This record gives sequence, C-alpha cells and structure tokens, in this order.
Amino acid sequence: MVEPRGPARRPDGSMSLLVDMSAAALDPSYAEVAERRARGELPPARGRFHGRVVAALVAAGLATGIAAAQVRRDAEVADDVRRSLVADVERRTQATDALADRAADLRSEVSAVRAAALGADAAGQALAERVALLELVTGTVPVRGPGLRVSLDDAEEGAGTEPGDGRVFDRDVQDVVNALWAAGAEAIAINGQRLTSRTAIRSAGEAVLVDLRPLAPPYRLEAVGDVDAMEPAFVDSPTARRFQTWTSLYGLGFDVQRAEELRLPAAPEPVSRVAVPLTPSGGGT
Amino acid sequence: MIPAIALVLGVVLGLVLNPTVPTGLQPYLPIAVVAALDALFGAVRAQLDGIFDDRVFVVSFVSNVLVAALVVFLGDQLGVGGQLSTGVVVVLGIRIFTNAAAIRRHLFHA
Repeated sequence: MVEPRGPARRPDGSMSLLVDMSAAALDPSYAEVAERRARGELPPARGRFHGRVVAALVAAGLATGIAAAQVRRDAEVADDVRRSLVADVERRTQATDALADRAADLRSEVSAVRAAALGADAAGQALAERVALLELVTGTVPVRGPGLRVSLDDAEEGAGTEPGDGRVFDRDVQDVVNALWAAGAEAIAINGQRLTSRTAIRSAGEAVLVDLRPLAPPYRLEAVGDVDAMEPAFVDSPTARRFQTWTSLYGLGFDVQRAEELRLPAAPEPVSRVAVPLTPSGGGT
Repeated sequence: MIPAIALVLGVVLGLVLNPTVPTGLQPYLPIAVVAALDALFGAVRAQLDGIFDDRVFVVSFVSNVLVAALVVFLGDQLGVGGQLSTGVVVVLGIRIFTNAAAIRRHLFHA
C-alpha cells in the first residue's frame, strides 16, 4: 500500500465547495479587522454607525424599492399588452363576422339579380339551372337534406400499446370523407366546415386542419345524400369496418346515425386565380 | 434603529420615486439587490458577534454588488447570463440563509 503524501484529505473533500460556502458565510474580513484591532495594529472602532454605513443602507433600500417597482411596472405593461391584444382579436373577429354576413347578403342578392336576368327566356332558364347545380356541387350555397351523421373521437388517454393508437389523425378523417363520397354523399361538412373539391384535410402538429382551420375532436361529419343507399354502402365500406375494429381495440369513438334533415353551410367562395373558363365561341365545353 | 430607518427610507424612496431604470441595467438590478441583502445580513451577524466594522461593511457591500453585477454581465456576453444569475442567486442565497441562522441563534439562543 502506498502511504498518502501531503496533507491528509478532508473526509468531506468532494463537498468542500458547499462547506466553504457556509463556513465563510460571514465575510472573513470582519474577523480579521477585529483581530488586528485587538492586537493594536488598528485604532479601536469609532462611533457605531458612520455616515457611509447609513448611505450604503439607503442605497440598498433604494435598489430594493426600485427593483420591486420595476417588477410591478413590467407586470402592468405585460398585462396592458395582453388586454389590448385580446381587444384587437375581438374587434377583428367582429369585423370578419360582419364582412361574412355582408358577403352572404351580397351573394343572395347576386343570385336574385341573376335569376331575374336569366329568367326571361328558355336559354336563360337552362343556364340558371346549370348555375344552380354547379353552386350546389361546388359548395358555394348552403344545402339541406337527409343524410348521415358520422362522429369520430380520440380514445381515452392511455388506450392502445403505442402513443397515437387511440388518436384520430388527418388521414383517418380523409378516409371517412372518401368513404362517404364513395357511398353517394352529395355534400359534406366537418364540424360546420363545408368541404369542396379544393378543401384540404391535413394536420399541423396534433391538430387536424380542414381548409386550414384547426378543428378540435370530436369530429362531426355530416353528409347529405340518399340515406337509404348511402347508409348500407358506408357501413359496409372497408373504412367503416376498420373503424369498428379500432373502436373495439382502442376505444376510438366512431358512431354513424341517420338524420332526417341536415343543414350544411356554404363554403367560402372559391377564387380562380389562373384558370379561365372556355367560352362556347373559343371551343366550347 | 438608525440603520433600519435608513433602509426603510431607501425602500420608500425607491417605491415612491419609481425612476425608470435604463434598459441595459435592468437585468443587473435584482442581482445587485440580492448581493446587497447578503452584505446586510453579514453586517447584522457581525454586529451581533461584536466584530462589526463600518469600513469592512461598506467595502463588502460595494464589492458584493459590483462583483455580482459583473459576473452576470460577463455571463450575458458569453451567452450564459441566465445560468450565471441563477448561480449567483444560489450562492448568495445560501450565505444569506447561513447568516440568518447565525443571527437567529444569537437572538433566541436556539
């Protein structure tokens, strides 16, 4: 065995930092000066509280007060900013709602004027019917009629063996929508968002987006169509069977109900930026 | 009595005047306050130990505040300002606790 050399290791060697911190909590200079005073190297202490001590104390109090006031003021500023942002959001939401109302009014006005203009002769009437059909299938007018209500919901926390087993993803919603179209649905809306040929169903993070608007589960899909044909076709579809399996496996929420009367809202007006219609004179449709 | 009055006077002045602290100095003010508190508790303990010295107090007070602010400033320049502030607060906090415990033993003999 090799004898340790040098000063013996302190038993608390690895903790020396913490020990030193508490041992030297009082500035060692106090003890040093007191010792030198006792040895007579320094003159004895004068009056107990010198002016500079008082000045230092006032400074310490001042710093404390200013810091406290600063913290309070910062909190107030943050609060003001948050309140003004909330007010901003509310104002903008109201403005958007008002504009949407106006757009709906104008749209019905346009329809009325168009009907009046086209109603004059047979060709006009045929055109008006075509327009009405196109409006229906492109989702630019609200529709009503019998249909199916399909609701999808995430399972309770902790279902399944892997994370995500009990969750409804964008592709699940897409599957169900496609199965509904295949079963003969004529118009579909998800949580009040009408689907058109240009509506995207995708996800961002954990949220499912329909037409770029995040939706929260449960997802309520409403499909208008011929119920008697649609219900058996949908319930027998591979998608619906798969969901029924998942319901028993993971507790996923999946429910199909008939509805006598569904009312689906209109989708936002589709905007064509590049494509222009072929005119009859330019080649016909 | 006089020190307590001086301290309270400072706090009241700070709260009432509520001066605007330059943005550049704002991160260092709370650290400076903690450092000043450390010096204050040390001074009270020294007073009770009977070895208080006004020169030592003023020097430790000023150097405490300056060093604490300097360490945080350096940390800010190196991108570890937040962590160093935490370190300074932890170290000064331990010292304040230790000194407060010593003061308690002096006052209550417990």
